[in-house]
Amino acid sequence: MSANDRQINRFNQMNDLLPNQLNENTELISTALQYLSKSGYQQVETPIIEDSDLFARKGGGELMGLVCTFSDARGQRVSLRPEFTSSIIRLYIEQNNKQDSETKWSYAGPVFRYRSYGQMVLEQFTQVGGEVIGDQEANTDSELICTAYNGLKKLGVKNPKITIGDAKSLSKFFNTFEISNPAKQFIKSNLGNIRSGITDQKQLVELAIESGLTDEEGSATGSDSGSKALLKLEELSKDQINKPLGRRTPTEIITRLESKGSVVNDKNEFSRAVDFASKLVAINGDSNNSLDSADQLISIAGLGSKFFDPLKSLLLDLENKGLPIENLSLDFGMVRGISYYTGMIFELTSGNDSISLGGGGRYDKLAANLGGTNSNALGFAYNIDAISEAIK
Amino acid sequence: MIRFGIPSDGALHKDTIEFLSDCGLNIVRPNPRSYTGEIVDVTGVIVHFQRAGDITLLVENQSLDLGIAGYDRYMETRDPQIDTDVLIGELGFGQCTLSFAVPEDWLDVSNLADLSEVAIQFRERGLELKIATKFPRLVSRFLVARGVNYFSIVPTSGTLEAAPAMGYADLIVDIISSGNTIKQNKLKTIKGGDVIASQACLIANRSTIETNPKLQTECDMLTNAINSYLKSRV
Repeated sequence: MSANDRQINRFNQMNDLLPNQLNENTELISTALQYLSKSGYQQVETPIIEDSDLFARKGGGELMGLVCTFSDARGQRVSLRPEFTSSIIRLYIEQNNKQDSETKWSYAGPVFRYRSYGQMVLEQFTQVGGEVIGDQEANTDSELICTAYNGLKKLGVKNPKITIGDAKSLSKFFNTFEISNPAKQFIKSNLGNIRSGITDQKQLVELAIESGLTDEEGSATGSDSGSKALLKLEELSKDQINKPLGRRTPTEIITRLESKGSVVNDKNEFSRAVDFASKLVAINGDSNNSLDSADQLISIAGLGSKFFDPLKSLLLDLENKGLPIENLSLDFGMVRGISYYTGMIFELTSGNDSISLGGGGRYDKLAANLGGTNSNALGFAYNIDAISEAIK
Repeated sequence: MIRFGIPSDGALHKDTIEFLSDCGLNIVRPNPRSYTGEIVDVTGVIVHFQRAGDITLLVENQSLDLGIAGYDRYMETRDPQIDTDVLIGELGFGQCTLSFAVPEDWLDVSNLADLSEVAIQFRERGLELKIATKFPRLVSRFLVARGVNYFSIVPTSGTLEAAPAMGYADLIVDIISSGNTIKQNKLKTIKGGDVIASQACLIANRSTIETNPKLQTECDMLTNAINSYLKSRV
């Protein structure tokens, strides 16, 4: 056996930092935290390992595909944190922070993710970021975006770019079509594939038919009703030991069974939703041109002229706050964490090569989903390793 | 010598031995507890008997050069970064389907769209739909692609069919052949709930074989024997 056979190498994408690089990264982290402190954020720290359900509850299967999860010595499923937001919200809930006071917390530390869904390459990188929880001000979105953008310049990034999307507009858009929640979720989950051309509209409709979201005849089949349903309900209630229903009750099952007939996923309406979604997610670029294109599409769909007023208001706010509009673009197909963002989403990139340096958005439902009370919340994070490369 | 892995356990073991015999590759095992064997009248091949679920990993980490594995298990455990490939995709045995099965008394759930709505209802109650399966990656990818996002996987290595009755999962995704076991456990399959159709396949580590002419020759001998038999059955 040679000496090389005994050598243990580091994993790819888990980088060592030699003294010079370590000093640079430490400097960046310190500068970012000081900047956030001056912007009113107080630093907190949370564990690297958390209960896997924390991340499953936040982002579902979409996020869990990126998370390193394993069983601890007791057999409990635990995960290396892929980001800080879930932990910060968990901490906020545990601290029973009041809804009427705004909490601004910052953080710094390593996070761990698989590079893309289902891949085996686990990466470690350092995040520095801030979360605003319980915000009441109307212009907090623009304030956060400006904080994130100006912070990049403080860190030495020349001419950073910012791309903004809007999960709320996308949800509003889907709500205008007469399709069920599963159908909306189905289309949203495939927006990235539609845009990249992995899936075309025809394939998507076929997959929807296969899943039962719609069918060739065009409408959902009818359901049992009246006395038949009542008989089934009685039967289910009596025989719980031999026929367990798990965590569903007979009433839930029968109620849903009775309502199934009224959930119409007409194939034409479903196809129309897929068609318009495909056109909307293709719109990206300069903010004025993108808004014009999106307005035209909405007009063709008959969805009203004020559809994008909140987004227009945000852009005006940003311009008034001094954000250089030439460095701002819109992307109606931004699907970053689409399942948990509830409003504006944004991504920060380097000026020259569009490398992602960080991003964030609004996620007002997360506290409630994690067992807390309803709290508005939004935040962002920098990728320190990417910024370190960008400023070389 | 080329290291050829075949399943040492389960239904695939017996079927693999019979299949290879039909291909003219008669496997000899010195004793039932031996982990290695050879092929009668064939030199240059050492047969390794390994757990069916481990063969993909062993081919990837170069402990084996090629092997027979279930396509479902290959797709679940393979690392796309490693140069392991399917040489012959359909060996014609070990057919089964990885499918969803829900309690039969979920009268309102007959297809995947229904399951998606139940998942949303669970989330609104602050819960996740718990799914017991031995194929967490395949199942997760399948569900996310179909818009079912709110679920948690309960990785399970033992008997899955009892999971809903015991309460540690709401439903299961398991290999289904005849469907009798599912029915006996008061479960039912749903439309659109077939994750993957599987059968035995021949996999190989291309980077070890293609860089070694002797291994390539031995690999070609094995694949030619198998392909000849498969062609003769058509």
